Amino acid sequence: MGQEHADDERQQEQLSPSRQTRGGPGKSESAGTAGLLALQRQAGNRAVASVLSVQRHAEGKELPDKSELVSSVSSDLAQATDAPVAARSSAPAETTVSPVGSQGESPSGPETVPAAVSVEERRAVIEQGGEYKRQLNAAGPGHGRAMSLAGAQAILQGVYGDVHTIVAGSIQILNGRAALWAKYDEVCIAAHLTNPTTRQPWAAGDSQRRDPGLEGFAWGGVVYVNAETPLVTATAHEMLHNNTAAGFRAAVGEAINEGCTEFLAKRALYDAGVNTPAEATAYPTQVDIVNRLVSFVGVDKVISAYFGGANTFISAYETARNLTGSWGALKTAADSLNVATVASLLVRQPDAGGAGSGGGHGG
Amino acid sequence: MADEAAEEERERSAQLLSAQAFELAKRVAAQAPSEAHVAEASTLADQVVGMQTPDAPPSVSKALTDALLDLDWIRSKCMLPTSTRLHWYLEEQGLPLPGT
Repeated sequence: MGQEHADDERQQEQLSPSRQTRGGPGKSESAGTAGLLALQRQAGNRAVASVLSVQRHAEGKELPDKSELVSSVSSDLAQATDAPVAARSSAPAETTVSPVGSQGESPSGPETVPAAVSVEERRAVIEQGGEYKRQLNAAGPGHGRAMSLAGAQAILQGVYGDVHTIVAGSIQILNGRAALWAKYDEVCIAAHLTNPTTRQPWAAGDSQRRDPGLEGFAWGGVVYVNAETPLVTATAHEMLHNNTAAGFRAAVGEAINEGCTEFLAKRALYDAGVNTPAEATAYPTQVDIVNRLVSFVGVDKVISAYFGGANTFISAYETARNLTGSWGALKTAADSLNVATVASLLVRQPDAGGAGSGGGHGG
Repeated sequence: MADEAAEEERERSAQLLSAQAFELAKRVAAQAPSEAHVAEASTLADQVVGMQTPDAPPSVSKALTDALLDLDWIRSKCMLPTSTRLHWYLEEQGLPLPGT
């Protein structure tokens, strides 16, 4: 196919420095918008969208004004975010926010459009990358080391902050697999859970016996990650999931969602000077698929879709493919991890009535 | 060459099994878990355990541990901790998160 992989030959596209400003003037000045932006910085796009999505206007009642709406959201989020959140220390000033749609997905979703990444934030990418490489070297060959939350956030912000303000979310890095097993046991015992395998109350040691390869899990709204994971993208990968546009996963499917997440994590680390060895890549087949897609539609489309909504990605694909309605076939092939079929769907169709006979695919 | 092909097949099998486990967990998340779900999860969990080896590449190991977490969550009637991927899914869908 001649499709080169981004692993081997990095995409040369620059990070898009374009500052997209959606919405009309005045939106950025409203108290409601400011409140939503503050909440977005604290909890992320999807958390805000989730809270807003369950609010329904009762028929016959007056619509609440924006300040009431934000107050309500603040209250809901205050209850929902008692888990640790690594707050950003220097969030850039956002300029506009688009209205919230029923599906919560951009362009109708609560996407924030941040200002340009500062010089300090770009510098932090290299600094944090250097610090992480020192940690990897200190761990030694054959020993994994997860990136710190602060490091991952700084790198992701410096690389993708032009299109989305990165929110850390509730992630904790535990000191090795033994600590992970112990935490898993601890929460299960504290909650008086039954082990479905032994049919006995959960006991210390059950986690290790059941899942010797445990790399992470979630409980109580907190994502726990193994500090000694061999997957160098682990922290950045989980943090990116906290920043994905609502509806992206459903629109693109699980394979492309995970592939994009790992692709973007690897790309950010690369910009920070950290290479991700092939053997330390999560979801390698999914990343292969996304690398091919990136070559077909362009990396900027992938970035804007991941953080802003899948529609731009899908329309870019169908435009490049020259075949409306063709996304579904690609999604199906990707979810089947059928790389050969995916590759066959990354070819532009001849124009209708054109000279080429093509081998048209109905999508 | 044969080793490489075998590794690729192992990778693909693990990822597909993991995806199958995740899809089942997503179906269970959308409705009350049934005995049929639990039985299916147990069958898949046995397959996952059978594929686990200490020398598995990190990506295979990760796929299998995620699968096992999802399947045991189903087997526990949605009580046990989840995989991280299922956590992000539940959060996105506004569904209850175990332990909250």
